[in-house]
Amino acid sequence: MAGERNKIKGYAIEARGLTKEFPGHKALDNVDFYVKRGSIHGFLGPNGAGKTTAIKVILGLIPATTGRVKVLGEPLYFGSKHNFLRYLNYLPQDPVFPEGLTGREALHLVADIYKLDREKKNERIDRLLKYFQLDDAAGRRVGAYSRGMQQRLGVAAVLLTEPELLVLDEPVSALDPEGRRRVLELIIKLKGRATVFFSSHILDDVERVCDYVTIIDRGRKLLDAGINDLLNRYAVEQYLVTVRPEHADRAAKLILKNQSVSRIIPQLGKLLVVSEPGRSSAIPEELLPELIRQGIIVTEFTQNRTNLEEAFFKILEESHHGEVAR
Amino acid sequence: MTVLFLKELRSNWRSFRYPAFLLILLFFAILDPLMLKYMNEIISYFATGMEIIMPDPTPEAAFLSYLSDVSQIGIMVLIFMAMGMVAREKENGVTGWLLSKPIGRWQYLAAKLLALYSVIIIGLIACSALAYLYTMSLLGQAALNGSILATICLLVFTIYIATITFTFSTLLKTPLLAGGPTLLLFFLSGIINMLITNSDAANFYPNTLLSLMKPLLESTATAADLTWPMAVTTILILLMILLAGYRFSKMEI
Repeated sequence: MAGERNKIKGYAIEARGLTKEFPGHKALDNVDFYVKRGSIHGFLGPNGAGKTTAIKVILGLIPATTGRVKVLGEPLYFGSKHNFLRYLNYLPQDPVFPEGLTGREALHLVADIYKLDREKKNERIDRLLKYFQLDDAAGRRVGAYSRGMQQRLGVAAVLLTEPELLVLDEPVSALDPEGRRRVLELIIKLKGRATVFFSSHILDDVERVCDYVTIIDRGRKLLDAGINDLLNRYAVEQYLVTVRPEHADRAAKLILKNQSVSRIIPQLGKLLVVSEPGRSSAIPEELLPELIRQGIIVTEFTQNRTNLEEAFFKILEESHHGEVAR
Repeated sequence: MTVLFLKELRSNWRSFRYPAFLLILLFFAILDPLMLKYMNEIISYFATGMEIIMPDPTPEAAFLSYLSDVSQIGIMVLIFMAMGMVAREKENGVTGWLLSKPIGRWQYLAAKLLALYSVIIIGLIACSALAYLYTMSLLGQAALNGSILATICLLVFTIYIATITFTFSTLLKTPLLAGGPTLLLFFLSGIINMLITNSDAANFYPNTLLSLMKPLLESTATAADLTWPMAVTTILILLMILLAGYRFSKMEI
């Protein structure tokens, strides 16, 4: 049962030294990553980074050139039938279903492959079709569905079997805001009950739902960390300062004089104050009292936390600089 | 396995591939005996002012006409129908999606092959029976033993061509890439058959099964004459299945 096996300690996915070479192209280069059971693990990287290749290796669809993979504790041998597939369900980037099937038949096919019992199957299928607003279209052929509807059906097909490990490749890329909200809500609800490994380029979504992230670029792993650690590590400390409009010029001059301040960026009547590296804590300690001492009326002084998107681009930038330097 | 088999039948039925093949069989089963029965009237209707006398049609000739049409046009339709059975799903991602589930690669191929063979076997037996009975009602009874043996020859040869198509569809990337070599091989094997028809090599050649249909119907050949071509064709079918399965088990999807 989903959730039961998640109580077992260890990793849902262990990838060690994963390398995949195609003729004239190295898609993965000695990549290691570990996905904790019960976690929601984001897999990030720009287009062509090697995310889908890594997912296909994990699913046993393509062999790694070198490296070892364990899924739900079972070592992966390319070409063998694996027991872990009974507890895993995969959503491809562009969900596809066998030709000619209706939405309901496609879900029945998945349920039958995973050997769900008849009562459970019918009840779950009805519930999921309703939740994803596909109940009206359930009798239509999937080929006539829009891309968004196909993606919703794909997510429903993954959730139907209540798998222990969900591997989702860009699960919300074709969804409208309402569809995205519904899918992300469901993913959040799975936290602790199942392991979700998903790739996405919508960093806002990843930040919202993930506990851990692995970032890869051009086949190499750049980083993996807990989402909060990552944000703290890459937090470019910034403060938003708002003063009375008549004090704005004077406040700007005073802020710039402070040695902990690197620069200030005016933003819609506010001042975004960027600290010198490693001196962010000095800003509220020194600057706020100084402004008040000078008679400047401060109406807002808040920390502007870095989001995942900023951290992501910073990591990519560092990686590219590193390559140029080498 | 049953789930995949039923999925295969449903998908191919809905996409009109299986119905197209069955309709072609049905078309010849009904049309050929009728055409032969009324051939003289048809010719005299179109060739006004000329007198063309055709020999009286025999039941054997009518049944053979049906078998021959199926062995050419029917098989070509079959190739078009089956050329994408694996290649199409590899191309559009369905194979990857299915194999990410608890389904073995051999199981995936076996379900496809069984569905295809079932349609061929049921379709050919049913339409041959229909053609036989219809011929009997129009022209009299053809030799039953010869008709059954000739139908078996066509059945095995059709399964042989279906297996070639399946093998190419498994090994190659797109339906067109799979269909091209199969058609080429089909025509080429017909030409080779004409060249070796009077040599000993013909005994070990699959197309001999088609060449034997006429003598079997006319009772100038017996079941014993089928032994070698049938054995060779069966071995080739098994070898192709093994080749397709082995390559597919190592294939990047």
